[in-house]
Amino acid sequence: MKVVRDRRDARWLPGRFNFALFRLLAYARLRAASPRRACGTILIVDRYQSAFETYTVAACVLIVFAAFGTSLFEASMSMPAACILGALFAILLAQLLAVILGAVVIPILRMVIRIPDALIVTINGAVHMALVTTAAALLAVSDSRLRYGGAAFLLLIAANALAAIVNLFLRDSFLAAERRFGVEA
Amino acid sequence: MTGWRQRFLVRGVYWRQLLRFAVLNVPSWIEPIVIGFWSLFFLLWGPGRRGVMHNLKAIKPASTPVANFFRTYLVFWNFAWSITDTARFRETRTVPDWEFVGLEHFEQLRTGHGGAIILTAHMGSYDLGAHVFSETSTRRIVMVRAPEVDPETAEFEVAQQERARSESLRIDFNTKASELALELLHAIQNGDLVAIQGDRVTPGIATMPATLFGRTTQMPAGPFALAMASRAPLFPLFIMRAGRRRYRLITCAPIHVERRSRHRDDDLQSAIAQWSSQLEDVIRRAWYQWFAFEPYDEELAA
Repeated sequence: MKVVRDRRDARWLPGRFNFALFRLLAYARLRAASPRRACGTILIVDRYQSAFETYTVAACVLIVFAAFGTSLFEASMSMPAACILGALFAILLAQLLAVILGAVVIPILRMVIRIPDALIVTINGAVHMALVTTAAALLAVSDSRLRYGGAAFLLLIAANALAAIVNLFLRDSFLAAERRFGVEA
Repeated sequence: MTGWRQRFLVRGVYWRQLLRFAVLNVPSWIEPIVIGFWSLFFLLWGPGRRGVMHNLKAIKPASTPVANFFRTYLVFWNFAWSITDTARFRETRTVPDWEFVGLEHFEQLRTGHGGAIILTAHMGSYDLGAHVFSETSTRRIVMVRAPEVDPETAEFEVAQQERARSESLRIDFNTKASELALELLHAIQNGDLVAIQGDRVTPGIATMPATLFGRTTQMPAGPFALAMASRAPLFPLFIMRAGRRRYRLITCAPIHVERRSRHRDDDLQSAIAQWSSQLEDVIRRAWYQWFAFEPYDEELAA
């Protein structure tokens, strides 16, 4: 467990973010931030620690699934009704995927290969994101009024991929930043 | 109700198993959707919802039932996050960020030599707080908590705690009051810390009257009697959820329960009054974190 004590600005450490785009933005913010002492603060350097990132990605996923659902329903009902059904569809789909992956797919895979517990969330996350991206792509090529939502999400995915490439070159800088905060492993 | 249906009751084991499944399988960025949905679902739990609404009526006397209904959702939302964080800690040892308020009292507690009593409330994640304390301090901590009503759930909880077992943390259930009191007294005399929840009374334990938000209620007498018998300081400590994976640990100045008069109950009463005043202050500021699902005053439920 990596820990930073008594430093408020450590919340911008890239290691506290999961997605490349957020890591890069956090690093830029960290470079602009001035050292801020906060006595009695313990910050954990863990990739799933950022609330801002989590809520932002959750909102994006919900919007894409809801827009995708709405685009499916809009042909057979009014737009407001399709939006309501689309939102419900999104909430249920996001959870159903986790149940199907966790209760069906992973146990079957485990019969064939050994998967440690710690990897399950990572695998589920990757499959989830692949399915959200597929939904966004299907939405973007449809003739729905909501297709721009799908296209916007695909742009974000592309930006994230670019950020991942940039982050490869910044890997040492990220580690140096952690060392400057005296990260205790 | 017996058999498989019991598993699906609100205190049934099914929900604990489902939570464990979710912690192990749901990606972190889906969590807000899942927790938002299930907090809404648990609003269907009538007694719990009404209990929180009754308490809110006392905490915020000028509020309306409609506003309190939405506030109840916020209580359920915070509760869902707190139990998820606890389950995640047990399964994956994931620790949240911490902010310490009243650091000087916390240090006194952490580094002190003699035994002490930590008096806490059903707020935030008290399990997580105790675990984190035991991980960051060399002092041994004995945590007392109410037993689970459902036998299967109790079995499940014991198994879960066994998995997250730490040498410096022991959990006892306040089922057998007299035996436990002696064990706790020994623990304090050995220099251990004893953590007890002081905001709710379970059947069969000794109580004393107190005033909370202008209403008479019963508080457990045990922690105060223990402090008096052991001459150990009693530290009010609150663990509050400050955001996603972020907790605030508030440690207040210790309460010393001393025998000053011929009437033991009067001395206890003065300590209980100090505790209830601190509890009231914290709940007033963070009502959305008080996980009391039953009305704290019987008149409120009437």
